[in-house]
Amino acid sequence: METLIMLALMLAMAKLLGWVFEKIGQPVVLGQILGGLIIGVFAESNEIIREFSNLGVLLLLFLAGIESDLQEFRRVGTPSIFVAGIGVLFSFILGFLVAYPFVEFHEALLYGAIMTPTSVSITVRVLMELRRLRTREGTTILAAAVVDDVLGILVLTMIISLLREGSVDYKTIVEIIVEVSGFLAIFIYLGPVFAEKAFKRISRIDLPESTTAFAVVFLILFAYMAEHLNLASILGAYMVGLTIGQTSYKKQVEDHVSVLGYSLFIPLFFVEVGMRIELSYILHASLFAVLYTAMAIVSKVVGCGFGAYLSGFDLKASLRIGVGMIPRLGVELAMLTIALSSGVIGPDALTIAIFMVFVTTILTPPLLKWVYKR
Amino acid sequence: MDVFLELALILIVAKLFGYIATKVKMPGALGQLIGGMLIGPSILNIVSYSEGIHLISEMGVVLLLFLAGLETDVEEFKRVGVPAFLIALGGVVVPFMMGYYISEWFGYGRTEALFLGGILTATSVGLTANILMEMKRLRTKEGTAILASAVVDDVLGIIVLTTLIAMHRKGHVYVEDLGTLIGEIAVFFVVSWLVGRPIVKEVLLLSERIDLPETLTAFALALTLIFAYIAEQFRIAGITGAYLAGVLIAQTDEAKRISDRIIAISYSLFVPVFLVGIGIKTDIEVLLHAGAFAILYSIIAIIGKVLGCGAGALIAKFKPKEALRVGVGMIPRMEVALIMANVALTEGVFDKGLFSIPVTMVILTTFITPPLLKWVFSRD
Repeated sequence: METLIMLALMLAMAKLLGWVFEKIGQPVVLGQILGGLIIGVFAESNEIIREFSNLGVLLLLFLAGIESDLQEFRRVGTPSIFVAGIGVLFSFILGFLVAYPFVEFHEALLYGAIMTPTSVSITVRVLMELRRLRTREGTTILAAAVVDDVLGILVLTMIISLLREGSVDYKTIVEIIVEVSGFLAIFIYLGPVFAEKAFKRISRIDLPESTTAFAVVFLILFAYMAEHLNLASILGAYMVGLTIGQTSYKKQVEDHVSVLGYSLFIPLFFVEVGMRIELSYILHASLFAVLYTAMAIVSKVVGCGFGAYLSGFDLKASLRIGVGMIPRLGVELAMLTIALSSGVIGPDALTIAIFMVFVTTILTPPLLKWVYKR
Repeated sequence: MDVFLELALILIVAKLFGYIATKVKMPGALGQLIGGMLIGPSILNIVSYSEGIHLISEMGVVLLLFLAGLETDVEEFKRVGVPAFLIALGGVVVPFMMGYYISEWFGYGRTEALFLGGILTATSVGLTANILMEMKRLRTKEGTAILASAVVDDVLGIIVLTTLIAMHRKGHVYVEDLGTLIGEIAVFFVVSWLVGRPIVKEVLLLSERIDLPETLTAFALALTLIFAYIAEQFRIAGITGAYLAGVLIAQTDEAKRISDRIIAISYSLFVPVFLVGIGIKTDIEVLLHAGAFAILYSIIAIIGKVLGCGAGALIAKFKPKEALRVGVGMIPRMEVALIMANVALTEGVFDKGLFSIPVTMVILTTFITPPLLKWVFSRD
C-alpha cells in the first residue's frame, strides 16, 4: 500500500512540475528530475519502484524506436560511427588526462574508460518534446548511441581485464563484436518481416489489448537479450520499437504503448532518476570531481561534434549532436558496481562517477533545449 | 531483470491460454486462471511470483474495481426496476447464507465462513450474455432481467466485500454491531462523495490544462491510488476506495476518455497478471485433500444462485420456467469472486489451501453454466 501511494505521489509530481517547467520554457524532463530530487529528500525509492521505472525507460526507448525510420537509421551508419568513435576516443583520452595528476596511472586509465559510454534516454525524451527526434540529427544520435554503447563496453572490458589480469583478453573482445553485429544485423534485416507475421497471428487473439501485451513481451525479451550480450537493455528495446515501426501494426501499437508509457511508467522513470540523486554528493564535490565532470561534458561535445562535422553535418548540427551525446546514466553505474564489487576500483571512483552522472543528467536537458533554440 | 522475464512469461501465458479458452467458447479469464496454475508451483514451477509481480497484480485489482466504478451508471441503476432488485437480492442473500452455514458446519472458523459465503454472492454475467447472444435469446424477458440484475449484483457484491473486510479488521464484530458498521461505511461513502466530487472535478480540470502526454490518465490513476489509500486508512478495503474513485469520475465529462485509456493499460498488463497470478497462487495439491469440500462448495454456489435468484424472480411474477432460466443465468462467478478470495488471502483470513477452494468453484461454475443454460433455454 505504501508503494502504491508513493507511485501516486510520483505521478502527480511528474505531471505538475513538468507542467511548471514547460510554462517557464524549461524542458519537462528537468522538472520531473527535480521533482524526484524533492521527493528524494523525504522518501526513499524501493526495489519495486525501481523495477517500474526500469520498465519506463524501456518503454521510452521502444517508443523512440517506433517513431524512427529504419531507412534513415541505415543511412546514418557511417556518420554515427564517426560520431561515436571520435566521442569515445576523446572521452577516454581526456578522462585519462584529467585524472592522471590526481591518481596513479592504472586508475587514471579506468577513469578514462568510465567516461566513455553515453546513455541517450534523457536526450531522447527532450528531442521528443521538441519534436526533433525524427530528424537526421536525432537519428544520428540514436544510431551513434548504439555504436557508442558497443565501443564503450569494449573499452571498459579491456581496461578492467587489463587491471585485473594484467593483459587484455582479445578473445572476449572479438566475441563481443561478432555477437553484437549479429544481433543488429538480424534486427535490421530480418526483424520487420518476422514482426509483421508475428503480429498478424497475435491480432487474431480475440482478447482485449493482445497486440499491446505482446509488444511489451517482445520489448522485455529483446531488452534481456541485449543485456545478455553486454549491451544496454534500452538498446534492445529501441531495436524492437524500430522493427515494429516498420510493420502495418505501427499506429495501433504506438498509440496503446504510449498510453501505457506516458500515463505511468515513463514519468515514474524520470522522477526516480531524480530520487536517486544525492544532494550531498553535489554539494560536497571535490575539485577533481568538478574537473572530471567538466571534461566529461567537453569531451563529448567536442569529440562527437567533431565526428559529426567530419561526416558532413554543418557546425550547428554538429554542436547539437555533441550536446545530445553528453548524458551518462545506467551503463556506467552498472559497470561501476561490477568494478567496485570485483575490487578493481575503490568507493572514491564510484562517488566521482556518480557525481558526473548526476550533473550531466541535470545539465543536458537545458543545454539541449538551448542549442536547439538558437 | 529476472522479474521482467517473469512478467513476459506471464503475459504470454495469459494471452495464449486466454486465446485457447475463447476458441472453445469459454471466457478468456478461465484460460488465464488455468494457465497460471500450469506455470505455478503446483505443476511446472517456473515462476516465483516476486514482489514486483505481486504489486502489478494488486494494481490489477485496483484497476478492475476502478473500471467497475467507471461503468457504474447511476441513471441506469435507477432504471433497472423492482424485479432486478428482487433477483439480485435473492441471489446475494441465499448463496451467502448457504455458503456461510455449510462452511461453518464443515468446521471452518467464523471469519473464514463469512468470507466463503461472501465470495458466493458476486455473479459475473459476461459468459451468460455471450451464450444467450449466440442463442439469440439475450433480448428476451429473461435475458434482460439477467443483465439488469447483474448491475445491482455488482454493487451488492462490493457492499458485501467492504462490510466483510471492515468486520475482519475490527476483530470480533457481532451481528448486533453490524448496523453500526454499515453505518460507518455509509458515512465514509457519503463524506467522500461530498468532499471527493468537487476535488475530482477540479483535479481533472487542472489536468486538461497541462499540455503533457496522457496527463488526464495519469491524474485519474493517481486519484484512484490516493482514494484506495485513504479508504485503507479508515480501515475500509482499498479496492472499495478505487471503486469509489471510479464512480466519482464516471460523473465527469472525461469519463469516456479515461475509461478507454485505463482499459488499454489494464488489459495489456495489469489484469492478465492478476488473473494468471491467481492461478499461480492456487495450490492444486491441497485440492486433492480438501476436494470434497471444494465440490460441495461449488454445488452450493450453483444451487444457491438458482434458488435465490429464482425465488426473487418468482416474487417478481416470473413464470417458474422463466425463473429457472434467470437463476441458471446468474450462476457464473469470475472477477469479483476472485478479487474477494484474493483479499481474503492478503488479509490473512485464508491460507493458500483455503484460497484454492473458491478458485475451484469459479472454474467449475464457469464450466457448468453453458450446458445448463442451453438445456433450460431449449426446454419449450
